[in-house]
Amino acid sequence: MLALSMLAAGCEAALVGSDPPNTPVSNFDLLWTDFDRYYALFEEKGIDWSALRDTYRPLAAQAADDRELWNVVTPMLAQLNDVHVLLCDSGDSRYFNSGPLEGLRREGFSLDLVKNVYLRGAYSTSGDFILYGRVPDTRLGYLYVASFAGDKRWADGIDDVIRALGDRDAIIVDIRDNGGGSTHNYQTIASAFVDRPITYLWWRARNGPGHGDFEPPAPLTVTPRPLHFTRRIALLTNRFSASSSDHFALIFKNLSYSTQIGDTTAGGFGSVTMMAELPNGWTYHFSGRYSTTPDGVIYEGVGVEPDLAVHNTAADVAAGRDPAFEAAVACLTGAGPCS
Amino acid sequence: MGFAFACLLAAAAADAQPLNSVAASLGASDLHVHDWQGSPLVYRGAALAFSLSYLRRNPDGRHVAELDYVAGDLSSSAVQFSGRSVRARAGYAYLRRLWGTPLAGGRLDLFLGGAARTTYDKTDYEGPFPGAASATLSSSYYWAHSLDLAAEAELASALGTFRLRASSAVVSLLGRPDYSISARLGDDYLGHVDAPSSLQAGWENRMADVSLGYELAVFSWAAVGATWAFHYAATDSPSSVRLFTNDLHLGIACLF
Repeated sequence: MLALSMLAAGCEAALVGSDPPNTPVSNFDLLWTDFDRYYALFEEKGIDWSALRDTYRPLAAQAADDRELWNVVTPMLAQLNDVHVLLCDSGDSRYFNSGPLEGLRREGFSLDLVKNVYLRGAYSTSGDFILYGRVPDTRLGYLYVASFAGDKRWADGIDDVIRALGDRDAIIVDIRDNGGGSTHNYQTIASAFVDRPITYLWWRARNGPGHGDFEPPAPLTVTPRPLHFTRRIALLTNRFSASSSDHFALIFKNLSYSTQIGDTTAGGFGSVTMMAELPNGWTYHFSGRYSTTPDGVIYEGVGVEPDLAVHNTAADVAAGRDPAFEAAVACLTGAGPCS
Repeated sequence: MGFAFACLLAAAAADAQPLNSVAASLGASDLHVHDWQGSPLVYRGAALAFSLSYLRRNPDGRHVAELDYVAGDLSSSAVQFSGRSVRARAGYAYLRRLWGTPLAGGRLDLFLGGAARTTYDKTDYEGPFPGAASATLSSSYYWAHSLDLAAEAELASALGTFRLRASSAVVSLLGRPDYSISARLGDDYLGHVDAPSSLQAGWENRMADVSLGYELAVFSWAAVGATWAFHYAATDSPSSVRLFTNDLHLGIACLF
């Protein structure tokens, strides 16, 4: 019996096959094929993926090692201009984002600055990602949501926020540097600010080998939760408000009582559905879905533009100022413009 | 102690010649999976395996019910990546005696019959990713309800009972991930498993089992035994998966 067992174990290659070769060109082929089979936005972005293979595969074939392969693959992926396309080489601690965030520095926003200067240290937290308080000397509340990631329980803490700030005339909702998370969590937070059911996007999910193979569109709808706030809102966004934060900002675009202030969101309207690995230890993810608004507008790669553009800089933070926050206060108190 | 006591009670109430056997066994399982829906890499590992079975001997045949479970960590050729697999199988077989003859002081019997089985395998693939909510990169599963053709040869003698059993799926209902998990909206798509629903012929969803067992009655009411069991499954829907387990078990059986 032991001999039979050892014999079976020794026949692994015959029974289940072998690993693909761990060579630069083989890894290129695996990655290219995975995108070809599952990536959702080729047609929306006007990408000729086969032409890109024709351009870059010969270079991959000449790559001597993974470092050279990295320099072949990343320009190819950059053509997708998609914040949900991320390549990771944990061995060399290299990360590449195909979207507009690649190379950008997070330098125009400091939560510590908001806490210490504008809230004067008086704030509360809920869960890992919610911070809220009253803006001193005003009738305004402030809510910061750091992320929409994590399990499904923390977002229910929004009820505590509404109870605490429900008597305010207006709330500043801040999702700057919020890189996204789960649909459930951002919808839960948004449901505390909508006054009616809002269908804000339609999903299209890739479901076949053709670049145009998709499931029938499915609506994304947010409905008001029992405890909600529908007086004036200023939504603060920046370029690092990505993915679920893009969706979140789009919901607020549907609210007549909301004004978006700051910078355009990242424009990641796909959804990370595919995470994958290569024999050389690299990992990557990308969108297997894309979305359009109910009237067919595609914000992917574009982002949600603010009603009032305020571009914070590193110098602002160094000077202890948050111009976007100040613009929100001015807008909501009538001391400044809202558009 | 509880097992022995229950066994004694059952044996006392039974006929002189035991017709029933309930066996429990524990062993090591050698798992291998190459599922392109989850990873291009082969994953493998060893784990503890548990098995329960019931055998009812009739003059013209036998009924067999089996339950197997194994869960273990897997590794791949890339040190960054690991996995975790859960496999469970349950089945019932009826085997009719075709032929028998005295042999070497004992008796050789051949059986042929059919089996209904469910086979479930789910593997999570883990690796490093910046900002990921969990280490799980992807997940895939193979779940099949099958109708099998089964055959058995049993040689019983004073030295014990040797049993060789083999089966192969004739037709099955197969459950595999969608073409892409993208198609499943919501945040729980990664761990979602659909019940088998796709009808597959035996050559499309290929499953085979072979086992070799030895059992020695140490009392009129109890036996000890060892089993080698091999299970193989392969299909190409929606992409290629090949997996096998290779188990060695030691167990005890209650005869009544």
